[in-house]
Amino acid sequence: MFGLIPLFIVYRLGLHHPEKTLFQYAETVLGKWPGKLLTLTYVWSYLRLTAVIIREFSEFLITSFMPNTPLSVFVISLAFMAVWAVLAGLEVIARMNEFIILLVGTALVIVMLLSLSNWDLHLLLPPFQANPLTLLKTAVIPDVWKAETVTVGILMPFMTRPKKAFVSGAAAACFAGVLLAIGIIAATAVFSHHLLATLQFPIYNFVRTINVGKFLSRFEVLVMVVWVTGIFIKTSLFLYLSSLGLAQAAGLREYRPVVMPLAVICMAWAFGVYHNIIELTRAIDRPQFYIIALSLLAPLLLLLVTLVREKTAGRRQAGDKNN
Amino acid sequence: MIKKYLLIILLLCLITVTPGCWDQTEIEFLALVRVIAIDYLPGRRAPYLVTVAIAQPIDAGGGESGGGQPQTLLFSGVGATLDLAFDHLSYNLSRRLFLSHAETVIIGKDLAEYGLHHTLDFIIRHNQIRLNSFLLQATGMAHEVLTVPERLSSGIADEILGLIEEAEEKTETVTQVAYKFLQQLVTPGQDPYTAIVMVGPPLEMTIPELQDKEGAEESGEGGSSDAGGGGSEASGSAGTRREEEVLTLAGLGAFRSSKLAGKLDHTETRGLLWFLGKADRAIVAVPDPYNPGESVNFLTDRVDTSIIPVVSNGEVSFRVEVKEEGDIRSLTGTLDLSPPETIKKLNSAKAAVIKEEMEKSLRKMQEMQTDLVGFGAILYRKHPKTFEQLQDRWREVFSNLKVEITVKSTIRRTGHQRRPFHPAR
Repeated sequence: MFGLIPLFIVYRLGLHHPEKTLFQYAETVLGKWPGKLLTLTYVWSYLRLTAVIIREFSEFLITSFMPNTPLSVFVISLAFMAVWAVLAGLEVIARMNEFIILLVGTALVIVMLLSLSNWDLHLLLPPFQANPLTLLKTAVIPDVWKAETVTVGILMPFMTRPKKAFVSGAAAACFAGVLLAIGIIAATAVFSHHLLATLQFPIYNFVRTINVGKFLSRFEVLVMVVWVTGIFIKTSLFLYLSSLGLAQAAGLREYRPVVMPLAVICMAWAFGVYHNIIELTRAIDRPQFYIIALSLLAPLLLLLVTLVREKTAGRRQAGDKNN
Repeated sequence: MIKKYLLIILLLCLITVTPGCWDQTEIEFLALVRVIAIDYLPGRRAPYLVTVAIAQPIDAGGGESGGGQPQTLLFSGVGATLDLAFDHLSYNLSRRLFLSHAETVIIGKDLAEYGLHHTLDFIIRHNQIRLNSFLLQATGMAHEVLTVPERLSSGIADEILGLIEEAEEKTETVTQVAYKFLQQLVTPGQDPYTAIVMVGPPLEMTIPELQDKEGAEESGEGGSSDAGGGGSEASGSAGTRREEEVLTLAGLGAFRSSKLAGKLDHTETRGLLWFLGKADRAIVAVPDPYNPGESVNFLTDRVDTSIIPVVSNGEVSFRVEVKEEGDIRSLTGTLDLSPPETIKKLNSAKAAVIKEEMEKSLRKMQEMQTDLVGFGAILYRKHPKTFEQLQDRWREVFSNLKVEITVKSTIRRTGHQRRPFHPAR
């Protein structure tokens, strides 16, 4: 639920600066050059995140499905698809998401129902064995990744009803949290947490254990479909955001010209970002400080400055009237 | 403009993709492995011996693949590690080794005694072997299991798979998939087990009374009093006539950590099954309470077991409550079941039989110091702190554990006969 805090901050910011993206009002709030710097930092982080996602996903595909296919095939094809979607525009990405969420939901329900016979609920006992501090720590880590809710700040001006942004954003964050929790509970009930901790892709292996009536099995394809589509949406969106940020920081009217170059940078980054899967999993388990800074501290700063400015401006106005 | 370029790029991409993957794996180039048998040859520099049963390709079988042809072909390889052994094995293959369809992994006795750590690591890391393939432990060499001729099914792979499926309906053994074994292995206060597959001459060859005078083959001990099982152990009589050997799936290999510690025979296995609450379909023969020479046979319908840890003054003990329901299958005598007294006596007699089975099994497990029931894991769920104190010496604690067993039996149905018949003089 940590993701709700940045969401709320960004939402308040959006209300204060209607019709503007986070990149645009950063300049008005912080001044021209600091604002541009912040925007570029966002662009950098989104680009890096895209690269990480692409790499992670490609590593998964290589490990479990196509061990002989070179990394570049996955990286290039995924980046290419993302470029295409981004060039088509935000609405296309959103509509696609609408369709895909149905797919993901159905797949999840099917997989969970079929796996029920493998569940051993005793394995969930006893709950909360770790000490409260580590418990909190492990709870915060996935939430830090959910701090991606900052994107709402950039997307708000494109919404037809920006006032509802907080509710729908919160619903989305909660939904994602619930999905994650269901997945983890299910995998724990099948594998026990001792075994779960040793697996590279627990949910994938969890789905591989499904075998109902000796013929309903091999649902890993479903996992792959869900993951491919989900990753596709995510990379497209992040590529869109970073293109938009760069374009707005540079004062371009259109974001489209920068999409291709950014995608190429992203691809190159995906190859170089980690040397191997061990570095990758370490990085995911320990989110770096910059993510917290960008998703929580920067919006907080923006909001504070905005509020102070409005207050002083209001006071000045009131003072003017009084005089 | 951009759209046009994109279209051109897309078409170019399609050209590279449409002729097919350069890394294609068509099914006719795959060697589909059905069973993997892994042996450990102590004292060798390359101790791992891997034998796989590969499904006979239909096209290679030729037109008249009739009766005599085996449905599976065997290939072997040796190596210092499993990867090397599989690599060695693939030198003999004209097709690519494909392990996704391996339903069964058989572990040789020597390997089990040496330890399964490497084997399990190989299975988890592998991107083809499935975590829900069955683990079996052979009483001798694992590869010998594969050379036994199939009897009812076509192909040894299906024969073994059929045995496993049937065993789920019986109480001779507990079939175990790889990830469950792993889960038991890594859970503190729980030791893993696998079903045992035995190779031996069929029972009719081992019972002394059935032997011809000239049939000088020495007989195993065989013929235990219980139904089913037929534990004809050890393929001691050496493979003189291979076609006269059968597979038996009965009993459990008990592991201490990843090493084989001993075995439970099929009655001891059933004792364990009562603890696990899985002994439905067990056939229990109970002595007639009025006439001890005769017996009443029951088929268990439903078992419900609860294991409750009791901690008092730092002393850990367990209370095991079994609720069992069953039907009468047959009588050897002429017991009249109508008086309520009789049913009551039968109930308590049956409960006593079950309790004795459980106690015997528990004693065996305590002797081997293998906590197959998972008493420790159960204690951990209820009293985590207490278990954590005992965790390091749990096996020792387990071997002296006090377990109080109470069995409550009920008779539900008596079959198609209301009263016993009495032959006319």
